[in-house]
Amino acid sequence: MVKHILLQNRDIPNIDRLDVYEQHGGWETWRKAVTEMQPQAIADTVKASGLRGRGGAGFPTGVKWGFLPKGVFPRYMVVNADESEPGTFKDREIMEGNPHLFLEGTALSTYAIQSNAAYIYVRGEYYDVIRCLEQAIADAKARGYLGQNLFGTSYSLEIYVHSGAGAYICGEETALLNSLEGQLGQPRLKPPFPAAVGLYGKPTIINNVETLANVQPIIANGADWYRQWGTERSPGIKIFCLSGNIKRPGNYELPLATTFRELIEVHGGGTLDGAPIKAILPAGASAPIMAATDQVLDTPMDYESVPSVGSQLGSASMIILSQNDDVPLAAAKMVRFFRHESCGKCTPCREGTYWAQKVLDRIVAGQGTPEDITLVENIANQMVGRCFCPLGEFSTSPMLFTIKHFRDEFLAQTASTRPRRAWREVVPLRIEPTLATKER
Amino acid sequence: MAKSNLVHVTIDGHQLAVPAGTLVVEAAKLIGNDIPVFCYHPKLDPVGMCRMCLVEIGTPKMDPATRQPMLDENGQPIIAMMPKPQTACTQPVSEGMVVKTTTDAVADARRSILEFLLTSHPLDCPICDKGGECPLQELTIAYGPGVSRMPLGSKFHLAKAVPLGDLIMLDRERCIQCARCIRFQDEIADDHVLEFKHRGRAMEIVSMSDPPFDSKWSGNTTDICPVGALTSRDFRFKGRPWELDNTASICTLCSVGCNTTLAVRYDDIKRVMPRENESVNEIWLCDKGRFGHKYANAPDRLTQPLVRRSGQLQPATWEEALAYAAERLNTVKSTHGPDSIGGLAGDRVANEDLYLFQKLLRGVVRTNNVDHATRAEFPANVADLVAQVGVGSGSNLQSMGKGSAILVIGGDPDEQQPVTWLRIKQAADRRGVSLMVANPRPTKLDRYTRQSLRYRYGMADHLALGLLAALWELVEEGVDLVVDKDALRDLKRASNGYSTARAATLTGVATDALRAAAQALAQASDAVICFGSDLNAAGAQALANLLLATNHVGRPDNGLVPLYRHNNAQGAQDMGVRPDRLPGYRDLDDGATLGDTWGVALSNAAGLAAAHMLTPGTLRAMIVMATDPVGDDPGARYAIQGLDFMVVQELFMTPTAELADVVLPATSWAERDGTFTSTDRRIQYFSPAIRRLGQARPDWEILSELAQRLRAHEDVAETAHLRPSATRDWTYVSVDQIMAEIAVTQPHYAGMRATIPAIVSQRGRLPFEGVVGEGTAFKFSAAEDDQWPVAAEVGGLSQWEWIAGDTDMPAVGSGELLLVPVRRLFDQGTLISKADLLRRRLPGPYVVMNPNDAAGLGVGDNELVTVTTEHGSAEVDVHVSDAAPEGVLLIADRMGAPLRGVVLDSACRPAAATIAPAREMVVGD
Amino acid sequence: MLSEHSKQLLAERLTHYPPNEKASAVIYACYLAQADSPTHSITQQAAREIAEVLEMDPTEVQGVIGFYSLLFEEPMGKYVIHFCNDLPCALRGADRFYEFVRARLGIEDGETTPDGLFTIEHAMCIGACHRAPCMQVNLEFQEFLTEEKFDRIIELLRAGEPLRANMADAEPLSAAAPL
Ligand SMILES: Cc1cc2nc3c(=O)[nH]c(=O)nc-3n(C[C@H](O)[C@H](O)[C@H](O)COP(=O)(O)O)c2cc1C
Ligand code: SF4
Ligand code: FES
Repeated sequence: MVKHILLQNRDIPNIDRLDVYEQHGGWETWRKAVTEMQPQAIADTVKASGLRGRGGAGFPTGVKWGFLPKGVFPRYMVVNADESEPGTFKDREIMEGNPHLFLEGTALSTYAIQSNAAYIYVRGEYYDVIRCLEQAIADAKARGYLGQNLFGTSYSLEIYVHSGAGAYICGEETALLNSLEGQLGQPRLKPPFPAAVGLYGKPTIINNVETLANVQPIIANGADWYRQWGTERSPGIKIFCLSGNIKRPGNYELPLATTFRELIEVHGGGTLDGAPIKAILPAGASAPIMAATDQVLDTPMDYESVPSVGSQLGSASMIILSQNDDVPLAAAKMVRFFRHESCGKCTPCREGTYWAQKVLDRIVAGQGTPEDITLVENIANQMVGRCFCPLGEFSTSPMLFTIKHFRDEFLAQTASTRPRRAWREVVPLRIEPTLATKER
Repeated sequence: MAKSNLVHVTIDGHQLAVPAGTLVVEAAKLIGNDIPVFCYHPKLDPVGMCRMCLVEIGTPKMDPATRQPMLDENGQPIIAMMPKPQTACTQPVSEGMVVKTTTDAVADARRSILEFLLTSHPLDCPICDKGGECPLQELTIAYGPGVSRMPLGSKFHLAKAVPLGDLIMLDRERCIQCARCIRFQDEIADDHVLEFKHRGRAMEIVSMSDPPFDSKWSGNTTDICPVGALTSRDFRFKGRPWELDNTASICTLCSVGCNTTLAVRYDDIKRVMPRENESVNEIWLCDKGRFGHKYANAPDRLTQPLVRRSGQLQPATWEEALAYAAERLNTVKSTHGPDSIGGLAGDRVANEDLYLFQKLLRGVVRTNNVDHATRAEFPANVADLVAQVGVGSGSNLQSMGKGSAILVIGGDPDEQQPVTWLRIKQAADRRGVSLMVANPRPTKLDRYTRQSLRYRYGMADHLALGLLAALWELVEEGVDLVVDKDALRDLKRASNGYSTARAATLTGVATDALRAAAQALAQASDAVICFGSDLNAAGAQALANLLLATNHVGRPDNGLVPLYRHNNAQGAQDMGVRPDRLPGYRDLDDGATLGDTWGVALSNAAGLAAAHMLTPGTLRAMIVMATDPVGDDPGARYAIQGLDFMVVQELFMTPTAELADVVLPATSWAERDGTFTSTDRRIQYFSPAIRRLGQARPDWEILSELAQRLRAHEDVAETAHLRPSATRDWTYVSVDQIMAEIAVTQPHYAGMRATIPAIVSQRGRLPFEGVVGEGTAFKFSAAEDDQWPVAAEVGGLSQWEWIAGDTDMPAVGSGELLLVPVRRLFDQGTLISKADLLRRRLPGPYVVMNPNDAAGLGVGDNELVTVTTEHGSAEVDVHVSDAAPEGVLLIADRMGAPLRGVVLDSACRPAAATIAPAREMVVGD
Repeated sequence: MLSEHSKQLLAERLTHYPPNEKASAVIYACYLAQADSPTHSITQQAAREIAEVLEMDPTEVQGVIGFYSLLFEEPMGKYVIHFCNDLPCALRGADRFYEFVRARLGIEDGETTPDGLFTIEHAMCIGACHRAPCMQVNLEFQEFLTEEKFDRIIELLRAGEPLRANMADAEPLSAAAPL
């Protein structure tokens, strides 16, 4: 019995190799699609499946494809493999472990939108992944799955891998397009939206790696099959990235609407240090932190329920903090991340992240005042709703919600004059938690 | 604008209707609401990055069923306000939109953005050149926070005083990352030499070009930079904006006639700023115009009259000098007759000077020996053709859009008239005008054209004739064109079997390309032809015929525009500073009215052209005003040395002045007023900005004084029947008086006079009132009707003519290259070489050689070679670049070494040249 | 200067993009220049060369180099170590481990060892949070670090041995989850 859909590599050794993938029926859906199906039929099935974008925003994929202007060609498919949100490493495992599943999904999707070229924009740090994908593409090409006149039809498809060079903002779709065109990776003014004016000024669809990986099983098995998991509005399965203070960090492929508790306690084995869980960052640094109350822990992880408890599902990169972890330090780390990654295009983000980091640094160094806490909130509130792109807006989450939920911790730090606290010492993965706890 | 294209918006309760697509920020301006901006600039595409312009915006709620606005109980549309504030600079208006700019949320947004901008700003206003005209300063006072919450120690530091280029300094700490400068360079100048480097707070402006900030437009970035980050090295630390006395002026460095403001303190021009005139220069100035003003206050200006005594030019009083000059000229005249005297004028001086100059020679000396230098550069019929079919009055390149066409032929606006280049580029690049570029070599305009017609050197005429032949061939083939078929038939008959095939053989441009271009021109709604001095009489006439045949004459945005070199070349033609025409393009035989006005009988004998006057043995005496024939061509020396007498009116001790018997110091344009006529026939007034230097006097004043002393008893008797007047007695006291006389004697200028006083009053600081964000250009739009109308508009079109083209290139043997002089914006002209800052941009002697030729000759980039022609040889550097076509060597027509008369002939014509390695130089230590 | 091999690779890469979109290959070209350079950085001359091949202005290439974290214009060590101490890794002790790394190499963050071999820089999340502590050596992942493992890596690099062959992660991916 197949246990994983996207993470088949967990069940089938060497599925990353073309021959193994083929033995398990790989690329057959693709052959069938090109020789027997109309592009629209594929798009319709994806729409019916209710698949939502896995890049963060959760926008229904089939609906997005429908935004392409009719009759304007060429069009491009661009795959967002920039995966740079702290705590996110799911696309990496898909691309490394199941490159052909991903490529087949990409091929199906590119065919569905009647495009002949897909660019996979991979973050520069994923050098290993890029090599792996390039090999997989070469193999697939050699077997006639990609290239000119596929399976004797008039349809041709090229998939190219394009490397970024270290910039989180290039995960934002218009910045990604600028970067792909050889410009600075700064976001573009919208409208026009990429579906109308995208790569090289042509209609373009941008989808996340995981989103497109889902397309293969959906087309192979049908929309109803996919809808057996998850909820009406958040159907299907999702890879949850679990990291931070957790015993078994890693990727977990689970139905949407699985509860936080199940992920963290059953799959993740609870906190690494064994202390009670204090807080969850459900979507890396970008979404509000949540205090790990019972209500939160029992919330299903889907696109509607997480907002109901004050955060976002985003790319489902769960970072776990235990009672031993220091929220102000975490806030400072996250704001440091955004300051480092701010592209500089708009004023509030460029200046706000810089300034907020200065103040937070002061606080965690024990040199802050209670007014500094208010100042951080002020800075964030001056940014909210005023930034050019979501990065700036994201950066306000660690400023506002860490304080909102854990103000006492901040106050405690400003009250004391003790020197900057060091982060907990290294706890390699396979050391027993008891030992780790002892060592602390 | 059709009514249906208007949409209704409500801004802070004011209702207004504006064209669909108008940005909220522009709509608000219409009701005097200046939404604060930093990154937005009306000349640049909106980017919405600084976030200063945030406002609240709502749109009517629509009923999904009826698609009509939903109404509240009062019957008013229900407005759904957007949850976040929106950038007014990127948001176009839509029907029923409601904009709120006075709410607390907007005030908070403005205060927040300013606070953010100031967190890392150095707050060094007291030593900042922008202080006093700084949008950041002004908007902070209007909307910003009162105190800083950012401790000094936390500020982000970047380098200050970074030389971004020869002309521009950058203070990276003051930069607010609005990208106006980068966007100007990308969108308008199309020199991508500025870019942001790094990201986030560390972002800074860099330039990597060689030389850095390599653009002819760099100065404009200092105007539109909304803070003191970019400053000009010219004006840096020279004065505070509020101490400056600003005077409306006109640029004198090419014939576009850019409107400028001279900012003066203690009689020193501190800076030259663009003055907005949307029909001439918009709000831009090229770097030559901005930084080339130094000659006005140059230390080597002539400040007192000089008279040659015992072989030496020695100081004299005005009275001595004038009396002596008059006496000597009168002696020559009485001994050898009036036609032994000639006058040569520069076309840099004002219309009033030029008019009096020819009046002095015609009405006092009584000769038609009067000319100016540009007439040698352009074919003789150009001015007459312009008077017939020049661009219609009311033309404005900015108003040309899709459907219209521009042909640029035989010239390179990029080097000759930068602002013309900029406006053609914008028309083609941004507004879809179809551009055709005909030139033997690639130019920067080629980037915006799909039709580059690359003809062989010397074949410009045949390209023009070929276009004309293409028209009749297209008609014969039955292509449906709106053209004057009869006239074309006549021309064809006169042409003696000319065809596109013949033109193609001569020019090397395929017949198809000729036809496509001709067809595009014929089908264009409006068409303008800009042409340079590559054309001869035949070509110029053919271009005029092309416009006539396709009915692109007599209307705004249709007609000919010459790429004249000097700022008042057009005025010199209009004023009749030429041997064959009186003011207003009247024949010499037609001089009765003019004679009546002046009260004298005029000679109708054709005078001598400049080249003829400068032939040894032709003349006995000369009056030279504001031109340097010897500097331009050392060969002119021989004619001048043979004269009995020469008086020169000059700013500087030029090689010509050194040979004079009397040198009279003239004032520069900055010290006086007057009018210049631009290349598209705009008559523009400039005011005095500084006091006269030493004893220098305006040329018109010198001419009046000289005339008073020259007039013999007969002259006085002859005019005795006239009322005493300045016209009769040469007692002019103002340029206004002279212009009044010009308006009578030169009918084209008759209607123009009215606009002049309106311009006189434009004195003092006139920044973009209120709209502090847009930059430091000075706002002022000239009157619309300052362009004099041509014959095609007001009647008097003359006959069409077919002039056979000649092929006048020298034969180039094997192993030889064609040496071609080309114009460069930054050359070694007398005036520009006074600007220290620009001197670094002045090239030394060099030739541009095609890479293939260089490979063939084994010559490397930057190698020194000897160029030899039949005229002589010179050592020059080689720049290897495909800017030169194969077989051609490009050489700047004015460079460090005197080339004219050395490797080029006196007319500066192309020549066959050989290249040899330069002599080994022994460098001692 | 780009090596002949790099020029060839770049020419091949240009076939991935439409003919008028050569600038798309700029990041790739910068990586090539960096790999060719003994100092692991892109010299002004190389930037100009890239600009020429890709029909860009040198200033635009400079902007790109400045924008991205993985492109360097300053000389770097032969091995550039990006050590992740972002939040998820920090929650697993990365900051402490980074202190050890710095002490071992005797340099501070952003510095290069005097022998020119190693430059260390802290990195924002590199996508290996579940295998913390982790780092990249010239973009090769090194995960599940221990002090011994780090020393071994440095030893191999000093000896000029390839890491990939010698340090292949023996560790399985983290525990599989049943559906
Ligand atoms: C600052 C920022 C960073 C982003 N980073 C990523 C990313 O690394 N990977 C990704 O797939 N989407 C990322 N996104 C979301 C994308 O903009 C986009 O929504 C997504 O690629 C669409 O694909 P999907 O519809 O398949 O989710 C990011 C968005 C923002 C604003
Ligand atoms: S230098 Fe001036 S114009 Fe350029 S980005 Fe900075 S503030 Fe804007
Ligand atoms: S964002 Fe509108 S003016 Fe800058």
